[in-house]
Amino acid sequence: MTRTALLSLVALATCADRARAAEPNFARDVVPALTKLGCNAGNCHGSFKGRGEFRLSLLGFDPAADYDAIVVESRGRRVFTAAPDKSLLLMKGTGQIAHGGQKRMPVDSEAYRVVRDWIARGVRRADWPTVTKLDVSAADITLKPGETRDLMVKATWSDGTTQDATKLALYETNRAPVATVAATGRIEARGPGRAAITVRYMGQVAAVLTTVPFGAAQDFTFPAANLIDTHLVTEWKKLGLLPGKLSSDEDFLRRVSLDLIGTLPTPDEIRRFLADPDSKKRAKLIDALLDRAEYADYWSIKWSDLLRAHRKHLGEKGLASFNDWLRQSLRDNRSLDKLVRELLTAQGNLFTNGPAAFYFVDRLPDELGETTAQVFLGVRLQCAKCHHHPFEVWTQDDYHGMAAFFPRVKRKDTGENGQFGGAQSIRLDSEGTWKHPTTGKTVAPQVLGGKALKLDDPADPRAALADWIVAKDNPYFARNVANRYWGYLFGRGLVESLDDIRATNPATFPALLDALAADFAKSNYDLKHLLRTVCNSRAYQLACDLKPARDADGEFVTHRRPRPMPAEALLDAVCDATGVPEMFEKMPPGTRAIALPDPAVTSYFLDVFGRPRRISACECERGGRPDLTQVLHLMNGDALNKKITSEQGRIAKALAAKKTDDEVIEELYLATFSRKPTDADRKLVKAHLASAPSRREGLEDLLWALLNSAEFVFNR
Amino acid sequence: MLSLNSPLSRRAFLRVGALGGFGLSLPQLLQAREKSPAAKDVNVILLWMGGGASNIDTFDMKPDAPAEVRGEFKPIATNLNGLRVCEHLPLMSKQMDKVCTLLSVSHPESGDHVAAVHYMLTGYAQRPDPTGQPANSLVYPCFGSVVAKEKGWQHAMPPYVVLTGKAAPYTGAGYIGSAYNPLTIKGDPSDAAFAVQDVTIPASVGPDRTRRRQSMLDAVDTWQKQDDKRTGLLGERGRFYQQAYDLVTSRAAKKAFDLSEESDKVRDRYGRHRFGQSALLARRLIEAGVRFVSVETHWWDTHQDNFKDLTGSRLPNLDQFWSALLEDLSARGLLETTLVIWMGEFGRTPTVNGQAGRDHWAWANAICMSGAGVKMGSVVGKTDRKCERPTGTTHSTHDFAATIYSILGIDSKKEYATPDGRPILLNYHGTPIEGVLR
Repeated sequence: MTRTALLSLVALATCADRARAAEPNFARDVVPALTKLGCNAGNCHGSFKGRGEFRLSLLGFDPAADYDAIVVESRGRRVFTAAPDKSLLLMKGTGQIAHGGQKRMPVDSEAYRVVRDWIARGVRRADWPTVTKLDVSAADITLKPGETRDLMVKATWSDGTTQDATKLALYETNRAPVATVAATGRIEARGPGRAAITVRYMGQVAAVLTTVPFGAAQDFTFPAANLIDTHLVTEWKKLGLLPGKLSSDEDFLRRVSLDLIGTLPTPDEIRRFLADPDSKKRAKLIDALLDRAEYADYWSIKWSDLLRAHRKHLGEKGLASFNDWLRQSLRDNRSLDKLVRELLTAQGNLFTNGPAAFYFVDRLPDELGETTAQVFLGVRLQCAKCHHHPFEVWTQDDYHGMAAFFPRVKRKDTGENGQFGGAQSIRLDSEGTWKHPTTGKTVAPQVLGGKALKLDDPADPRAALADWIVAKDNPYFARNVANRYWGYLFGRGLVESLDDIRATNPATFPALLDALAADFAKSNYDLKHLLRTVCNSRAYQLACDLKPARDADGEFVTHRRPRPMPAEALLDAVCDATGVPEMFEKMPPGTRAIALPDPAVTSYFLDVFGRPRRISACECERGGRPDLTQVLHLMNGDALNKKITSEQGRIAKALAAKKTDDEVIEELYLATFSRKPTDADRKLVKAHLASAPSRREGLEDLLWALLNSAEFVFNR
Repeated sequence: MLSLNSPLSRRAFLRVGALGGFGLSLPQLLQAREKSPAAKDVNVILLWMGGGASNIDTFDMKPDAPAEVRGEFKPIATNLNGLRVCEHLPLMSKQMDKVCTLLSVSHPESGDHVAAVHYMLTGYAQRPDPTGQPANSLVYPCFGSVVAKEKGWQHAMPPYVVLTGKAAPYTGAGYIGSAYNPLTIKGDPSDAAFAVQDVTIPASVGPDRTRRRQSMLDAVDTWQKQDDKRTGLLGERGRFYQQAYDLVTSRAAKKAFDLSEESDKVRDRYGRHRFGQSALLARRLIEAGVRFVSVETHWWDTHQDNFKDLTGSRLPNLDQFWSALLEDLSARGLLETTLVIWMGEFGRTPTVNGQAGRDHWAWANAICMSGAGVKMGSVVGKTDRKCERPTGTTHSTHDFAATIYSILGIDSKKEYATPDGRPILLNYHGTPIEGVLR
């Protein structure tokens, strides 16, 4: 403490007792006041490097450090107890002297009064209570456009006191066109939709789901197939939305084949399915697809992306071992809790025990903690490595508690060279601890929001971690998987982004996600059951709408929006449609793109169309957006042109089989758009064929045009 | 605006300079200039010296240093009083009135090429994986991608083109998204059969058939037609499709790529080799509407036989096409709006190693800039006697990036978003380097 501060403390000591009742507490009054003004925001003094050599903890998560920054650092010139109004903190904040952050704190404001009072009374470093609970007056509200609602926020502090934090809390909306929120906590409904209003105060967070209906509740009948439909009907009524119509058999077959096995149906499969009179044929198709060999190929891509399987970490043999384990597990539909447990508690030789790969991708305990949280729980912990997570309750202690599960993992990694191909193995040492990087203290393993394990317990702490993750009452695990799978099948998650589950990012339909997660847990984490549930819902089977009148981006699932095929499925679709397979280097002929083990297999096509490189576990790695190089490659690339005109290709064969124009046109439409051409299509196409220099060239150009159409590259 | 030409502003400058010791005013002045409403529509040609061209053997020679430092080359006079450059750059020595040589930029990555490329082309640190791809979960955008995002398409030409000798391992858009990746051209423009992958129409197809195919596509692609408002991903694809088709079929684009339209005299002046013709192509592309062309040249990683390799083809080729480009841009009045940058990922070690080579050295660099409001005919910064480090003010790659953005009229404190939605500033810590801009 500075001398000035000390002297003033002595001077004030006599009246301290008298005034204590009203004396501002640093953590409870001063820090929240500065937070509300934005002083410690990430783009200001809360930045990691601070601003103007004055650094505060991000949003005030560390009052002790903030006290030092304000009172002790910079030779104590930021506070001047003898003449509080002359304190640099106040002179800058009020803009009386040049301040990069402009004028923030008017002299007549409540914040100024609080800070000044605290300085005048001697910048006391009292005990820091923390906020343990935030009570917000509403969690789920419905407002008509133009209506407002005032939130009230009550904070409970660790010393048992409560505080009206309505004026001090920070508010933020995630969708301003739907609802805005003022600094006072007043929500105003703007336009139809759903918004989450985030409330943050001293490390605690809450969210208020705000629904603004599109109109009055609509009357409709919707034959609910399962729990998904039942929930959606309730939500649509609340939102005043109408569900669209059911998809055609052709569209459904294409969609479900792409979604479950990453493969287009063949023309024969389409004809058979259309001709099948069975009223249960959709459900039967779903079961049949889940039994196909491509199911394991396709879903092993998803899990290999998440777990970042790559030969640069695993070596070719290690990659093969992991890939075999994953594929076999998916093929046998082993329950997901078993897989997660095998990954987390893996020991032994990678060449014979595939799941040991988990410990060869990330090798540092903190990275393993991050990956575990992100992949299995959908929780992004990364922020909490350096500071309190600004949108979550996670602290640095939570972060390092997760890291502390892994320091006993030791690996032997001699690569693949040498007479016996080296060795890659994992063992659990009895020694190994994780130290908090700032305090230097040894951290005990601790699951998120749970109790710390004993440090000297010889048992494998990873087993305790696995137990907690796959427990039926884990608040994240089943929700995370249900949300990801929903996202893969609908093109957007109930929680978006798919891997960002947190209180301040609520699901579009929270009750639906809870129910789907509970159903998945009840099935003993049966992945095929989860897929079957989603695909059998009428919601999944709704028609694609290119011109929706409402719910433009399909957020409320009233219709389907087209989404680009994943790179691997698209390349296979091009090969199937042209009848010319792709040759990948060092892979057996006939290997399909969905069966490639990792992105190290060279393919310009796959790179251009956004195959993930498996650097991070983020779902955002899969580039799902169209771009120029993609379009150029399909339109003008010589590789595609050669497939179209190949002597081994579909057109050459159709001509050799002496098929008529009508027959070839139908086959090409089935092989690309997965539907029969309409009469209008036939007429247009025939007109073009007639003007082509040769029949073959005309048909080749038709195939080129179909492959370049949006109806081909999008899943509908 | 700060102008050194009027007496009043010179006084203002002196006053600012005097106050500089207190850290006041000049940054604010520069900031004010950055925000000045004068519209700047600047394009860029980046001459990229992949591998790291020697600074001490080119533009920062140390003739008075011991033999193991000064190396084998001698400096020669230039058309700028007092400035000397390497004897193997005779043509450039006559163009130094068009060059601002920047010697104060320093960064810490002397080990890995890829990591160093990130520093120089994005301002930021990056950890490469074993295959040379960025390994950090957040990847920053290169200058060219930022230009693509901020300036966009023009006359059916994509904003960012890389003419590659495969020298820069990273040229991408990082977190701002693959839409802003460059169009990378791998072919050799000095080759008579030069074609642009996926842009030049394959010979087996030809322009007539391309037109027929397009009209067939118009007939069968009923989806794109229905999506008249071009919303969502479908709309995005529709726009790219239009751009791609315009590019592929554009006569202007075809002309831009066709170097046979240039006279033999011009082609000879640039040099009848890959890099000479690439530099010429770069000029044609800028004229056609491209915003940022990166010309990747030789591999300059001269760990062995530095002097032999530099005199073999590298310096003569460079001297030829670079001087030709500056002359040509200047004669065409394009230098006012075209920023030409000469740089690589790092400089080279002051002391010559046992194999007569020089190794990586990122603490000292020579960067040359011309055109677009750059104060040409000047040297900014200085290095010590052995070319080990800048003396006086040292600038980070963030400062360098902020300098580039300020020349381009792009607000370097602009807020972007990462793919997971986190707000992020284009450039947090940089301040434009004083003295580079006129």
